[in-house]
Amino acid sequence: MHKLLATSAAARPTGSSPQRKLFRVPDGVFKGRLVALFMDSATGISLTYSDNPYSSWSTPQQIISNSFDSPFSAAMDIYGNIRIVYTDAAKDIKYLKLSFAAGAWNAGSAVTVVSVDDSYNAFILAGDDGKLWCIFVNHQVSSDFNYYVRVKISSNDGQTWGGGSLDLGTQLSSGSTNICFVTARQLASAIYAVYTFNRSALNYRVYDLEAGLWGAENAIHSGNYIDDNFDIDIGSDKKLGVVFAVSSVPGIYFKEFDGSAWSGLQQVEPCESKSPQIFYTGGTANIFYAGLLGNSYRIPRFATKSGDSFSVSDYSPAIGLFDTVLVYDDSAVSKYEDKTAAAGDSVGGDVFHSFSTALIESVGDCLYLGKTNRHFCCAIVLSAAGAGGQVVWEYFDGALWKSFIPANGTYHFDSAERLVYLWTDGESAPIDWQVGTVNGFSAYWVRARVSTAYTTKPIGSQIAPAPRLTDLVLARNGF
Amino acid sequence: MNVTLDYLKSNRKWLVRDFQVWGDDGAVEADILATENDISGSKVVYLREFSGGLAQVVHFDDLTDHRGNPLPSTLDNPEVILIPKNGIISFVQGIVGPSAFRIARERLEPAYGLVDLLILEMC
Repeated sequence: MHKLLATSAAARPTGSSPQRKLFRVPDGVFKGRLVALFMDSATGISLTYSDNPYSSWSTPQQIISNSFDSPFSAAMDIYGNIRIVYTDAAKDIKYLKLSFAAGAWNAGSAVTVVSVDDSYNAFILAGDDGKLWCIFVNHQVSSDFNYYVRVKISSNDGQTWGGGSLDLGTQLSSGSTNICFVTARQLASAIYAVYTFNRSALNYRVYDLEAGLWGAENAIHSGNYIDDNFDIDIGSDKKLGVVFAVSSVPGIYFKEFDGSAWSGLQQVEPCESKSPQIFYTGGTANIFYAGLLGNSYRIPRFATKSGDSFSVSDYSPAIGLFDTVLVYDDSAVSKYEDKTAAAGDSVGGDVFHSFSTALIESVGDCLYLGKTNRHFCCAIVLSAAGAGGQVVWEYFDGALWKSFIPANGTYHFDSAERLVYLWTDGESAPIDWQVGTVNGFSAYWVRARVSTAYTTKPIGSQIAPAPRLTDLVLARNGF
Repeated sequence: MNVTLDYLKSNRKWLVRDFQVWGDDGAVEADILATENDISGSKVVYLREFSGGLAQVVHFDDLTDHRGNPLPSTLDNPEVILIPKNGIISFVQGIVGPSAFRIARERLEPAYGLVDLLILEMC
């Protein structure tokens, strides 16, 4: 399923990997209801929800209007109540509880967690003992201009935090000249706080709930550059899994802590990736991330741990590569040529018909794009943009080709790059779009047919059903 | 409350005999909230897929009860109870939806679990 929920002018509408924004009501009459939180603008945070099968979502309801344009985090408890921590316009950390009753969420009054200097990237965790933990990054603009990871605790459901808003709480990290990112999980009687330091290290500290003390800082990994591309989860075997990406070395990496020692570093996939998410089913680590296909197009990928290695695949059958790409030259003897492999890679200027040396050129020429699943977008990268020509976009309904205008406007292969949304989203694909056979290949087909000949012929580099995925978060309640 | 109407509408139940379970519990149901960038701005999208393993999704309207009657395509607040028949532990995965649910077996051998499905409409 691919469903458009909203558009947003925020810098990062769905935020940062270590944070939480998608939740499932765990019990009661509304069990299974999903609720999504996102930045609807540079200042607003909205909520929308849906019930199984999640194809229809409520109209987004703005719950916060004074947010700073910075990632926020939330958590849902067993009753469906949601707690949010965010940076407000004054760059203070605020806490807001959304109480769940009769299927709706009602916002209380915001409480200031900390108002000293500037603070960002807050994460909220509810411990088994009922306490709320807010871990955040404080930018000490009044003194050394360093960033410090700090933690504050509320024992009264967020009404007060530590010694009040002027109390900075407990310092977890030393000063960093670059902004840090944080996350946390509880494992038995320990709170694990995992955070980046100075873009060069991923560290952690453990709070012993019985002793009431934070342990010393330890390193999980070091390298250039580690930002917010990391996540953690805990398996049923009590192992702590950490997944992360380091921008200087392409790939997604995994480490696991069994309570006494860390595993070696494992590469999940070598391709340049970001926004990793991890969650365990039983003792098996499942990892999701945005993998680079080329030319800034990123697709959701899925990896599951099997023994000492990972099995990696595309997350969605609608996103990735086309199963068949054909160029059709109406004036050639051999009219169809299969360009599936050339369209899938990012090598420049290799998608063209050998007779015309064009992707498409004369009236009647076609570019056929086929996938065995319904798809919704098409990233088109050209080494040479066309001029003078026009195409008609068509899909196959089982008997005829039907013309349509792509959801984000028609495209005539007249600019070097375009992400064409065929439909508004995956759920909006025409119901009469049927599997058809073209040149012996069976697929859901879309074609661009030349209706006006080109004076300058376009030549293709990469053509794939791939969006520009930037941030992704999994549904997890964070308790 | 109309007791008779409530009685007629509620507590409908169906028994589906000898249902083969071939889904495996390695399949992961993953809900994702994501941002896609386009020239027009950022899109907030919801993605949902089953990843890995063999996901067995059962639609109510694909089932026939023990009397030979097809089930409705949608049920109001359904629950599914599995009655094992061949010793392989089978179970419902995730949420039972109004039109479908997922089912899986614990072990890959033998090739399938055998169960009777007792499907209840709770209303």
